[in-house]
Amino acid sequence: MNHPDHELWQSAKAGDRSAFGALYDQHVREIYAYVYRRVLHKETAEDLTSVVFTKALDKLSQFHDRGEGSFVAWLYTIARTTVIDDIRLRGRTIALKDDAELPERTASARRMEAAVDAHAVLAALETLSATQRDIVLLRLWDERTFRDVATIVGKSEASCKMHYARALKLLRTSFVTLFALVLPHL
Amino acid sequence: MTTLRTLLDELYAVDPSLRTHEATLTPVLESLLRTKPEVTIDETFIATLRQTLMTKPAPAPRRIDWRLLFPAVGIAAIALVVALPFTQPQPGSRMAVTSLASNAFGMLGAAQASGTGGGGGGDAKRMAGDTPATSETSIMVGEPYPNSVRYTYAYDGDIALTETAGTVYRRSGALALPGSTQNTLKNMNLGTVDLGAFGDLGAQYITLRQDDVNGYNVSLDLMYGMISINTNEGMWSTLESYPQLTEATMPSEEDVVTTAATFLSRYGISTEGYGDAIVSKAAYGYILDLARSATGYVPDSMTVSWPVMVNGMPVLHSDGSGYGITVGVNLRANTVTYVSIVSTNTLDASSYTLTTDVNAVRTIVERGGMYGWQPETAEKTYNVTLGAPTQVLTIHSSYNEAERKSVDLFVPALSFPVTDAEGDMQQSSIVIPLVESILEAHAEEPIYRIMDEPVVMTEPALE
Repeated sequence: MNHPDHELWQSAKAGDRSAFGALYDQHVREIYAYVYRRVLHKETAEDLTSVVFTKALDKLSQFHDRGEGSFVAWLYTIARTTVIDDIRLRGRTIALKDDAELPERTASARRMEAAVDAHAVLAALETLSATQRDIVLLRLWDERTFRDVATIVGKSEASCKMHYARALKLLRTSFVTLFALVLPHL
Repeated sequence: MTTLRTLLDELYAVDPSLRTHEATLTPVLESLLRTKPEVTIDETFIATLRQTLMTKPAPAPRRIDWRLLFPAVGIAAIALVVALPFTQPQPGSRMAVTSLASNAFGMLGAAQASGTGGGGGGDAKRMAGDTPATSETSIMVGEPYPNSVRYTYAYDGDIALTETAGTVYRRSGALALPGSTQNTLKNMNLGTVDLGAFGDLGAQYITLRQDDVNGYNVSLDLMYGMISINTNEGMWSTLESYPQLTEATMPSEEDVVTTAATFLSRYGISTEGYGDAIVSKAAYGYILDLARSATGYVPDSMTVSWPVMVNGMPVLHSDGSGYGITVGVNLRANTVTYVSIVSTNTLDASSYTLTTDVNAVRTIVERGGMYGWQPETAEKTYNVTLGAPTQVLTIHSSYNEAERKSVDLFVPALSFPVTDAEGDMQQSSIVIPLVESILEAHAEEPIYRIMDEPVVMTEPALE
């Protein structure tokens, strides 16, 4: 293995905390972004990001290097399970509810459009299975490759692609209807 | 940033039928992308968390202490050492041995179709389905190897059989959970079912799982006394992504052992009380040859075993692999896929008559072991050369009718190492038990039944 994360991980595993700091610096922002997009709440996202990196520090020796990109994929895997645990704990299916920081239903037409979109997307995404939803959002919102997505959700790359295509098919049929249902209430 | 066009093309590559729906797919994708939540990073938070992590105490090394996991076993072992005058703790291990009268485990060899190994990589135990036959001649289901290949086993050195009696050990397999854990489990009320209603339930199998699809799960077979560690489901899809082995990517034998040993060390699994790691050189060479040829499927896993040491001798399976700790290594990813550990904390010992018949031993060596079998005709002959034997113990499974379970016996044996081999020979040695009654029961080659014939496993002894 010859990539920057590998060397940093090796050093961090051997107890070099500054090496772990370097890994943290490289990846914390995208992990925070991943978490925030699922919980849509600043304080919750910060709490969960803290949990992710604390777990990563504790479990460094359990990481198996599969080549470039695998360390960040591993962080995503931890982040995903952390978010799922939090959602289970709080008894909600997806974070786009409750105190989520959605665009307000006021002001400009542009904001209105965003709010409509957000609620329609929420409604449509809730028609998918949890795995399908994860795969779609990892690809579209987090721009992870299917190889990374496969590692993060623990499925084969081919299986992830199939889930993704099926999910988009479902969304295509439900989107227009849902959009029409949501609009009158906004 | 990934473009809409890329995303559409990606979808069509998976499901070409979607191409006809581009007009409706496009707004769906656009909506999903447009609603991607904006993220504002609070740099103060990033810096604070960093500071916290940098000063966090290092995690304590994790150790799995099997003695803590099964204190009842340890207590039983200590009780035996204290209470019985013939109990002798083995130096350098937690093993306790209780001496019994001669022939305490019954007549060995009769009604056996057990043990692993076989000619040219065959495996008699698996072919026999682990079911004991009632004939003194072993009856195996199916042929051990295609008729077109014959193996010749050559050992031209001396065989010294000077002892007329030797110690056979019986493993006490059962493990027990701590009483408090047993009580918690058997009194659990699951809502629909109250386990307490069943009275005195006891755990037989327990599986614990790391909360990580790429992690491991640990299974405890409390009745047989085995601990198995296996990869969770996510690991397999990761392993699939590695390309097939080539000569360049094939890890060395040393690397394979290091991978296995590192895993054991990482999880605090001690090899104290076990012999040196065993890797089959023949199996390694076979895989390396296939990797070099690059013409077809190349096996991608090997096992590394650490044999438990009893009375200074390693305990081996009949194919030369160690009985004790076995670690499966995936060669493509150079990672561990499973571990099995057999509990050997308590043993009973009994004296049995050993053979002094050199010719009988040599005959079985030359047919490739207890379950060796050679076809009458063969298109190809492979030669296997064996080296000078060493004293070992080997596994002999004995079925206890009364308890309806199989027990593992460790019997005195000679291990003839494979020093040179042709074909796909994968054994590291040929191991021959020396207990007289076992050898006599296997004096004749096993009879193999072809699968398309009716198989009656309780057929009376053949004449």
